[in-house]
Amino acid sequence: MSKKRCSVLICCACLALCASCVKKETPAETYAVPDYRGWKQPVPIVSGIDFPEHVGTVRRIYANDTAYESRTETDAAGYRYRIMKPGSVVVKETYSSLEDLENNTPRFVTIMEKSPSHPHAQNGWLFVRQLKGVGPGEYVDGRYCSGCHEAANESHPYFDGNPDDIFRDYIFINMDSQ
Amino acid sequence: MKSKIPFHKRIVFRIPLIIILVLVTGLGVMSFYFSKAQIDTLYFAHEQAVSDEAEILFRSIKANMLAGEAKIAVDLMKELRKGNASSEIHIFDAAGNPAFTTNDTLYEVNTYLNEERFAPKDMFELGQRPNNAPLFFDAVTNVRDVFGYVKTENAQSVEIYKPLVNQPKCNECHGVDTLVRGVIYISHPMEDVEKRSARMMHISVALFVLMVTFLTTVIIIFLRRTVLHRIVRIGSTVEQIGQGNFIKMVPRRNDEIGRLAEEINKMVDGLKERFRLSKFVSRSTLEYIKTDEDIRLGGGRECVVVMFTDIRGFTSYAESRSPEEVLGALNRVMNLQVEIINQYDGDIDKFVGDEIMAIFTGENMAVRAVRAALEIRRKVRNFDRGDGQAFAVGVGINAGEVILGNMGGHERIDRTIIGDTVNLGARLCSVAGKNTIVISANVYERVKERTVCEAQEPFFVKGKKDPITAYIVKGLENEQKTL
Repeated sequence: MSKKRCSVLICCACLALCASCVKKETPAETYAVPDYRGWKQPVPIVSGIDFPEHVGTVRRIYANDTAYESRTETDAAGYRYRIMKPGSVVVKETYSSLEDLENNTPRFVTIMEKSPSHPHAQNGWLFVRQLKGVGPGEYVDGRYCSGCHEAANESHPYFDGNPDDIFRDYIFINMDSQ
Repeated sequence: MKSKIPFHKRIVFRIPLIIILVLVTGLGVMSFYFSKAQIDTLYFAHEQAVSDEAEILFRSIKANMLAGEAKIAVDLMKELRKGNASSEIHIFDAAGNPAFTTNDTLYEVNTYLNEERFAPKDMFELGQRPNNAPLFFDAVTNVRDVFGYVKTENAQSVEIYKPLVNQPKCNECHGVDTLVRGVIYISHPMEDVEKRSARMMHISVALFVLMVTFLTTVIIIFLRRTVLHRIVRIGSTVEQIGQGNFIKMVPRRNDEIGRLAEEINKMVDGLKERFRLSKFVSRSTLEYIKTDEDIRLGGGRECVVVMFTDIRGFTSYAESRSPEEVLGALNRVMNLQVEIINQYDGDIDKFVGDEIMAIFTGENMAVRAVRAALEIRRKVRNFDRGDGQAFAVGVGINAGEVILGNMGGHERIDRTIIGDTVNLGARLCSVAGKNTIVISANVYERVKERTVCEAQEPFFVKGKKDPITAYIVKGLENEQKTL
C-alpha cells in the first residue's frame, strides 16, 4: 500500500473515531410505552389502599419477564439486598374507580424501567408518566415518584411490607416470590 | 534596484505571527476549557456536599419523627448549626412556615389519629420564612431538590431546598392528603470555593502566559535558526549569483535545507562553468542555445558580411620572443580587435592563430564592418608591442549568402558559416597588404556612398576561375581619412 493511501486511511480512521466519540446518541425526550398488557401481574388489583396522590384510586400493576429474573442476594457481610436487572419494567395503571378500570380508561399510567445509564435515571430507574394511558410517556425527573419509592428499601406498609428491612431496589413488591 | 518586501509580508514576520496566534488560540481555548471545567467541578462538588448533608438531615429527621421525637430532630438541627456557624439550616412546612415553632402539626396528627398520642411541646425555636420563595415553591410543586445561589456583600452561598416527601411510614400519622410534608433548607457559603476558583483562574492565566511566551520563544528561535535564517541566506546567495557573483553556501546541517544548499552549490558550479564557457563561443551561438530549439545538425542560408583580420609580421615577431611574451602581445591585440568588433555589433566567429573571423548581420552590416575595420587598423597601428614598433593588420571583407548552422558531429558541434562568401572573404584578407582593408564588389556596392575606396585591378584567387573585383578602403566619406 502506498504511503499516500496509508496516510489517507489513517486520517479517515481518526476522523471516524472522533465522530463516533462526539456523536453520541441522545435519547428521545419522550418514552415509548411498551405493549405491557400481555405481561404478568405481580399483585392483584390494588384497591382501597391510599397514599399521597393516589387517594381513592384503583391500581393494576404489570411487570415484564426481566423483572422476574432478579433475585435476592447476600453479600460477604451477610447483608441481603436485591438489584433489579437492567431492562426490568414495572407498569402501574391508576384508575379513578373500578368502573374506569373495567372500561380501561386510566387516569394515568406510570412506568419504572431499570436503565442506569439513561440521563433521566434516578438511582438507576427511569420514572415515566403517561397521561390517560395514551401517547408517549414523559420522564419524571423530580422526586415525585422516587421520593416515595425510596421507602421500598425499608419496611413499609404495602404488600409484603419488606419485613427484613432490606434494600429492594425501589420496588415495593417482592418479585422473588412471583 | 529591487524594492524591499513589506515587513508584514515577510516570512520572518508572518511565520512567527502564525505561531503566536495558533499557540494563543490553542492554549487559550484549552486553558479556558480546563479551568472552567475544574471550577465547575468544584462548584458541583460543593453542591453535592450540600445535597448529601440535606439527605442525611432528611433521614435523621425521618428516623426521629417516626419515633415521635420531634425534639430530637430539632436538637439535631441545632447541633448541626453549631458545627458550621457560617451555614444556615432550616426546616419549613409545605406552606413555607418555619417548622417546630408551634404545636399545630402535632394537633393535626392527633386529630388524624383520633387520639392524643403526642403531648404538646414548648415552642422549640424561632424560625424564618424561606429567603427565596420561587425556589421554595419550585421544590414543593415539582417535588425536586432545587439549588440556588445567594449573593451577599462578601461572597455568595449555595442553597438547597429539599422537599420532605410524605413517605408510607409518615402516612400513618400525617395522612395522605399531601405528597410533600415540608422542605429542608441548607445554605453554605461559597467563599472558600470562590477563593480557590479565583486562584485556579489566576494560576491558569499565569501558566497560559508563561507557556505561550516560552513556547513562542523556543519555536521562533528554533525556526529562525533551522529554517528562516537559512532560507534568507539562500535567497541572498541566489541573488548574488544572479548578479554574477558565484559564491558557494556552506551547508550547516544534513537536512532538507542543507541538501538545498548543496544543490545550489552544484548549480553555482554549473553556472560558473557555463559562464566561463560562454567566453569560448560566439554570441550568435549563445543566443541560439538560449532558444528552445532542439540542437540538431544543419542550418540555412543567410545574407551576412564576413570580415577576416590578420596581424601582419606576427610570425617573425613571435620567433624571437618567449611564448609568454608572444601570447601576451597576441592577447592584447586580439582583445583590442574584439572590443572594436563588439562595439560595431559584430560577432566573433572564431580565432585562428592571429586571425579573426567576424560576422556582421542586420541593418547597415557592411558599413559597420568597414567602420570596425578602419578602427582596428587605426588602433593596431598605434599598438605598442613593446619594442618600439607597431603591428600591422590586413583586413578582408565580403558580403553575400552563406550557410549558417550547426556543423560537426552529434557529440561536438560548431555553429558557424560556410560558403563561397566566406572563402572569398578569407582570400581578400590574404591579399590585403599591411594595414590595408580590401573589400569585395558586394561590399563596395553597400558602402560606396559612405566610404572612399580605390578600385583594384581584378585579380584571380585560388579556386575561382573568374577574376575578382576588389576595392581598397581609404576611409570614411565624411571624414575623408586616408592611409
